[in-house]
Amino acid sequence: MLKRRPRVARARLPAVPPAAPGAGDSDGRRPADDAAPWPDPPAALRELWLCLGTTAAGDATAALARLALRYTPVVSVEPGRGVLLEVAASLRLFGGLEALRHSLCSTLRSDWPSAYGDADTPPADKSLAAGVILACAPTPRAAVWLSHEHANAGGTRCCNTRADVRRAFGHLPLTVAGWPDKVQRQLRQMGLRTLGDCLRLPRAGFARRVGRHCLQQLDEALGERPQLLTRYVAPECFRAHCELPDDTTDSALLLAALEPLFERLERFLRRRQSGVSTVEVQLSHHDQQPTVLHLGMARPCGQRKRWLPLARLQLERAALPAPVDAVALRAWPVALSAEPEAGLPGIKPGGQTVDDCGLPVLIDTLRARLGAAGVYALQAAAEHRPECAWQIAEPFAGGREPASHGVAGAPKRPLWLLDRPRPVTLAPALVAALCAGGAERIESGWWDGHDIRRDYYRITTPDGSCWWVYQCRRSTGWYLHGLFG
Amino acid sequence: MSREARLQQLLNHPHVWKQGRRPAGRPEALPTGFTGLDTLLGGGWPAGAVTELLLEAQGIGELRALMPALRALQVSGVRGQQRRQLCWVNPPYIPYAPALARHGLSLAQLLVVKPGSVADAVWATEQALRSGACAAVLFWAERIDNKALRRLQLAAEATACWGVVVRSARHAGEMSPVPLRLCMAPADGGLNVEILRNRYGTAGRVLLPC
Repeated sequence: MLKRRPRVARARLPAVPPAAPGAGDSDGRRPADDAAPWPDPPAALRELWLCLGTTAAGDATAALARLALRYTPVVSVEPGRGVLLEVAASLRLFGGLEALRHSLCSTLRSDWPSAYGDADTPPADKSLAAGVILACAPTPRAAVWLSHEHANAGGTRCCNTRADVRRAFGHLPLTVAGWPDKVQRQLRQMGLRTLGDCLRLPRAGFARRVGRHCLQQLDEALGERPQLLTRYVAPECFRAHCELPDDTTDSALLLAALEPLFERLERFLRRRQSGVSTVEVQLSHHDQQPTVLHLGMARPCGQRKRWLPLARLQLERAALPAPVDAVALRAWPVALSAEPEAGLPGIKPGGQTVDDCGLPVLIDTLRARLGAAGVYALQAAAEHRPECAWQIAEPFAGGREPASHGVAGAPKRPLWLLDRPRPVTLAPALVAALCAGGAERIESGWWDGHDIRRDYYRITTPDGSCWWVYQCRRSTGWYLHGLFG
Repeated sequence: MSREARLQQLLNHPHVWKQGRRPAGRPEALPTGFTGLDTLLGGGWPAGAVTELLLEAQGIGELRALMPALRALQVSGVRGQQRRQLCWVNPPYIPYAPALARHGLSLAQLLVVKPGSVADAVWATEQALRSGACAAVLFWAERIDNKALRRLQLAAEATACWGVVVRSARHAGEMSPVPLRLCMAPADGGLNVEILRNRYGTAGRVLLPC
């Protein structure tokens, strides 16, 4: 039975006329992709989906989705395929489908960052804007398929009715569905070239051979089965902006201009019972790139009195290339941690005695002047190589206490470790005495290219320091690696 | 309040020094973990003051001498308060986490600050002392003048935080506004501690077995 199908399909292929009704000009040339205006859908249509097809993912699709929110509140992101917009309710506002498409395309050209698309090659047609292909269909899945790079649905990517979708499937290659390679190969071997061919097969047989989910996707595309989508909700962002009356580089004046903005941010956060862990302060110059300062917080907080000193510290040290003519704030709220920042009034008087209450403030203050890398916590790691057995950790990251290193049986280690082992010269008599005493041999790390073979000894130098030295087993050189403080 | 009581209160102020008598008000003592040193210091390291450690060389055992007090601070805090954080500013080498954990320190309550310049280091130490978030602040000072030391001492007094300034022993002959100055030198079987100046106890010399 499996053998017969390809023969039938092959016999059938030449008989199928390549052109759909209305496609192609009188001289047989295919119409340019979507040169014709998109007609408005019938009024009875309940939903109409636009797909901004792009292979980008992550931040790029999120940016595209935020842009799409200007046209409709119902936006969904299909990772790696594109962004879906439900536009049936927006058509009247924008003056029809063609007007909406036109507006969307110009927005994409101007606002869609060129980094995400190929900016050098101008888009081939109206629907292409920097690597984004527009398609429209009554069902989300059909819209995604139509927006696929290789799809050419009989000359248009716009299918306003389900009948149009069914007709367009006659020209959609199987690749647009994004099914697994194995399935695609199997279908090709069966002689199927388009999605329309799949629709002609018996449903039960198709589901059994290819898989039920493929059949379900076909049904979803045709609108015979509902499709669940996740709605995209843009992260909330606080923005505030203030023009300065005069251009200035004076940090006191800048701080005075920032203060009302911080006050607005505080109110904004209090309403939402949230805090921020980073506040972005943007200082605009007349004809130069704006200077951006980041106020980082070790713990999210929503209090103006915390940001102002940090802003002052950073402003005093910032090298401003030119006078500032405007200041702006940007911040993304995050949920506050469960424990209140300063305790409830009357319960923890003074706020000073709350566990590490002042510590986040201290860390933020130090980091504002010294940079984030200048303040850190320590963490022990389960590793035999001495230089890998410690790590820099983020304060408050919930660094785990090493269980194995705290026990008394662990080998004795120096309190000070040198950044890099320092070569030392030891007297031959001392070396002989050391080697007689026995060493701690550490051989490890062959798997990551930093393998070591060392014999560690503990010696006391004539000036009284207690050294942790090792002899490299390869070069037989002696190195100082630590001090027993 | 009667006049005598007010006068007495004024005279008992820690900043009033009367010849021939030790000041009555002294900061809380943090037991050092070494009996001989405790006796000389009058109970232990003074919380709320700066202690100046003058070392012959780095790595002679100075950290081990401080370790019992630091460990006790992390466990019980100062005066029953919750703060147990230690802050190490500008350590000369990498504080080695496995060894610290082996000595019983909690790594979650240890903050390391690596400033870029001398001025930043002094500023960071003063911030840490003044913040009231730390129980002890250790500062390895390459260069520090008396004005900065005085600022650190005032900050430590304000928040009852134990400040330790570690310097080289060649500064031993210089004037210093710090109430407690010790010189540490290696010796046979331990660490020789010489108390150069002590506002809270007596000067003297003791051998620490560490």
